[in-house]
Amino acid sequence: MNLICNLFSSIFPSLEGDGSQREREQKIDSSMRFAVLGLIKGSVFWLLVASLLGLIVSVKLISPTYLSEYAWLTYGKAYPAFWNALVYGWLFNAGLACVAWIIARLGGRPIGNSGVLIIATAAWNLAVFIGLFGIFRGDQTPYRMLEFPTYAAPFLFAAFIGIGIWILLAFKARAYRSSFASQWYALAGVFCFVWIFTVAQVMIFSLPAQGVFQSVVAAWFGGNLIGLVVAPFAFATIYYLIPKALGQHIIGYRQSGIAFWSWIFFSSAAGLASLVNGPFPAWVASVGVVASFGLFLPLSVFTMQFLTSLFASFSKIWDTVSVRYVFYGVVAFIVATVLTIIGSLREVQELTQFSQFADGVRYLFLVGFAGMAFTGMVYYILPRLLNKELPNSSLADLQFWMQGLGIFLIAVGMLSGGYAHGSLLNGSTADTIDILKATDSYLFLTALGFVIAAFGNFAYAVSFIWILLSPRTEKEKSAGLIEPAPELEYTHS
Amino acid sequence: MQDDQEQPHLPGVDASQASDESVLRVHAQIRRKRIEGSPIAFFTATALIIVFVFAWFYQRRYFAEYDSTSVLHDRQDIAAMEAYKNRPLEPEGPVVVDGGKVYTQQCVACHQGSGQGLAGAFPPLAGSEWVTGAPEISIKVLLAGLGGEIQVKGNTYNGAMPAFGAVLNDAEIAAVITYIRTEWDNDAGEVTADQVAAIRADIGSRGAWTAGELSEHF
Repeated sequence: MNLICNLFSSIFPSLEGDGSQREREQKIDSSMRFAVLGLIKGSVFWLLVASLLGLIVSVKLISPTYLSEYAWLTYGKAYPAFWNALVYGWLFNAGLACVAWIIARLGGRPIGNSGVLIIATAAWNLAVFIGLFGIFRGDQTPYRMLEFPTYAAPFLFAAFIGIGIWILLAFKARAYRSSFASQWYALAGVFCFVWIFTVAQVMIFSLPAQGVFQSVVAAWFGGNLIGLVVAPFAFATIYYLIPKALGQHIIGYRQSGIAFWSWIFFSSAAGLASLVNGPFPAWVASVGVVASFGLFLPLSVFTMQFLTSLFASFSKIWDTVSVRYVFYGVVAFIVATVLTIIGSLREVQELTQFSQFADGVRYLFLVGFAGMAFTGMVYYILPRLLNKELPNSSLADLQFWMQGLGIFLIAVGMLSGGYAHGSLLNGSTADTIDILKATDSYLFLTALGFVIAAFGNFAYAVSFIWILLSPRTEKEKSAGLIEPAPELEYTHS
Repeated sequence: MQDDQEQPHLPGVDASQASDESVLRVHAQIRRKRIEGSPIAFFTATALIIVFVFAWFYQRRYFAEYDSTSVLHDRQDIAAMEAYKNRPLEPEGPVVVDGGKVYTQQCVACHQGSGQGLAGAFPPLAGSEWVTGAPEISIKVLLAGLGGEIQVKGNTYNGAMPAFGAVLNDAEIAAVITYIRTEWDNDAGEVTADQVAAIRADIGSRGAWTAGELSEHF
């Protein structure tokens, strides 16, 4: 143990105690500027790719002949490509950027080994590229969120190990011994991805389990990828941003331990609920339903903590770019989790099972909750990494409303469309094609949402490139652009 | 007023309102401190109870055999399996023994598949007057064996036909004799298990027959 500690202290020299608090923060930021910017660059690139693919997918549902002359862009390939680019491309890059930055900042020390993070980031994005290329080539596997061909998996795994080890080392090297909820969730996400990805790859591809058990593992993985990896990163972001950007401690923070463990516990089995009515033993799907309902416990804690903390500084929400996104994310999280709980019940799945309903919930959770939280965090990080102001805050304003409206329309279109579709399928004797045509207007609504969201994402990319490339003003050249932070005040509540 | 207009709607930088160190310190403080009558603790406990109540009733409904259709299916399957296990092992109808099969197992080594035997060693069955003659001859030979010289189709053989009375039961002996009496252009009548049983009871336990003893049936 001593040897390991010595090793750590040689890798991470102790720099605390010298200079002011703001100077220390600047040292931390500069120690990982290039690496975190790399992750953000990757996330913006994949966000654009994913919004384009999402647009294509939604248009193909309205007019099936659209782009049908390209064999590599059929619906069966564009659909998994969209979801994988969204999760592994956009959300993982953005989430890991936020989490890496939060861990380093809360650690209170400049972090070494940024080379590891840079190489691992490059490898991760290369792996996502290989995976998407494989999907377009036709090498995709049939399991949801595991569609990347098996030859992309080792790259993905190795790259994530690199990023994960960097995060663990950064946590290990922290100066403050107490820990904050953001750090728990960041580490949980890292550990859980390694766990679920290994289990899924081994049990489905390397040493395939027998028969329907592969589908059980795939459903488990699909639920956990969202619940145990993406969601914890987003919780880490929200827990961090509320006190940092609002100056408001998390109200009811005492209950966060319950929220953390119950979220990990219930979320790890909630994905099995999608197996209801499938050729599985009744108890497997029932465990999933009970676990999904169990999410009610962490949901109520999160709701009380986040909403009361945000409403305590209500007037500041709209005048702070990052907190706006967090607010949208919190509302989307509550709605999406309530829909997850209701949507897991057998009686509801009777109606919604073969429709877009589940996709709508997933989209709202991934993009409305996690994506918006990460975007807010990136807007908080960028000025600090680059020591620049947002060049055009109206563009960020426009982006917020476009993305917000787009996600809202997509979610409404998919959820109500899915519900209407399922009810018609169950309750009428009309032909399937007529039922599909009757739900046309919902598909239009979804496509419209994808168009608007794509504009918002484009505005985000412009905003990002602008702040990267704009020359520094006199004010931005000084170290005093960002004011030193006051101490967080704790009032009894 | 002028200040208000110069101030953009959104600031270019979100000011940081709390230092990282104080975020850690204050929240660690909150976690340590017990708050009497905290509404958040109350609602958390309520949510926990609701989750447990739901889980309890849901598992009663679907995890075990409490009035669930899926479990009823299982019960029917178990009943069917038990019925299959307890099925009568003896066939209900008469046993039909394939004489050709018994011949292939017991006789072909000497008498050959063509029924021609081997010249000088084993007498033929095809066209043999001993086979197509009275059924008693064949039955007796099968039950107790045959030794010494015997004339078949004009050739003399001197071998030992083993007894099958202990190896084959009545139905099998009847089947194989019926087989050799009707195969290879032989067209003698069938032999029943009852005939075999009667002769078996009649001759009792004895040594091999000789050709002389059997010729009384001609």
